[in-house]
Amino acid sequence: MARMIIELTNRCNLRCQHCFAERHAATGDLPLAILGQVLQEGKGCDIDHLAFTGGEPTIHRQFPEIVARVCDTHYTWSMVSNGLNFPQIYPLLLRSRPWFTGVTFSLDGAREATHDQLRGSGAYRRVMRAASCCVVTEIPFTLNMVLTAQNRHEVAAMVGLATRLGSKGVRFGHLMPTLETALRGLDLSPSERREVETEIWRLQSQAEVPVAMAPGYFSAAPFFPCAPLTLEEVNLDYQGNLTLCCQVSGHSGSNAGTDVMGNLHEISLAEAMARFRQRVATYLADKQAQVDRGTFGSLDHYPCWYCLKYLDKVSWLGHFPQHSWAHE
Amino acid sequence: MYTLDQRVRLHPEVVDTVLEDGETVLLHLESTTYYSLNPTGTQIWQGLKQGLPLSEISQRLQAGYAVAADHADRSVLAFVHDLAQHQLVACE
Repeated sequence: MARMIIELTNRCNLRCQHCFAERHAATGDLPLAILGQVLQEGKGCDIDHLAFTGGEPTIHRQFPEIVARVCDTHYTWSMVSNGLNFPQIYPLLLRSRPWFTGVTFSLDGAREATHDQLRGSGAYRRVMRAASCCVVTEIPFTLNMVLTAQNRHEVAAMVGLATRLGSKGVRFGHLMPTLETALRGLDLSPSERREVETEIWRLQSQAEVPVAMAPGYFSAAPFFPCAPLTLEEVNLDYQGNLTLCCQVSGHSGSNAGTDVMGNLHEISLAEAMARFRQRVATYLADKQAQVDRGTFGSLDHYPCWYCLKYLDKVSWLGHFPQHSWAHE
Repeated sequence: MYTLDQRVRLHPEVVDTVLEDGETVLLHLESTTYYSLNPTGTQIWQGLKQGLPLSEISQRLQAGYAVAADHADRSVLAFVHDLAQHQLVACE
């Protein structure tokens, strides 16, 4: 069975330094009709779990109704949240058990100053309040840290914090470089990524809680089995577009729609999923051809970077010829 | 030793969260230790947060729970002593 990542909204109550501009452009919420379509057709498309993201998913104007509908149709669901309003919404989550399986809080620094520098003053303590609610009410929670030049040295501290807070684990993910992250000096170079990955793998073997890396880390093999490419995961944006992957959805740059399979306002979920499967097959064939030609470069071993290039989302690099990701 | 005429300062590294059932969970960021306060403890904590002297917090308890003054006084002082033992508060 597969899961669907659903961007409930591109409204957000934060303006994080490293977030895609489109993810907090505040242009809309996912229409309930589209959600209804997903709930009606999803199980027929082998989807049984929904994971809500955004923006900040909990500020969708009809979030309680969304939760009710998802539970009524017996999908399990989870969400990623910045935790800001968690003390207000956790009662709704408690009433959603057992369908609600847990929450991931975005925490981009083990130190308060680090997290707040990226996400705004007071944001760290809001996550701590959210974690407090979870511990007392036994809501499973994990932490997710996006690796940037500002927080890369706090990986070990983050694992320790995740353990002491009582989380079910911590996941680290590489920042997807954009024009904005380049301007702000947030991007890790390829070698810096390898360094921090080495540290994470070391911590993974020692930690008392699960430590994971989101897909996108260096892969010696050219074919990395991330969930979208194994057809285990698909993404739906707030506009109803079924897209290839949550990692590139909303990424700034040209050809913004290259990762879109279709819009559920116009086609059925089944049709969109068929297009998704075909798109993945085409992608894999194209990648194999590149490998066969011997043009698979060193930076292509970072799977998500390869996808950004494949989807023509890196034209902004032309403004940064000295950027570490501009060199092969 | 605390007295009723004192005000108490909350430790700046303590994050408090009031829950739906009227209880409060405290998280000390330095030790990453959680503490749970029942509704009475929550009321005292809120009074401390407002910077009230302990005597006034005690008076609020007396009014809210119809308890004798000396009982409320002892409860507040004992509670604050406990908070101090766990470095959740300090004297002004």
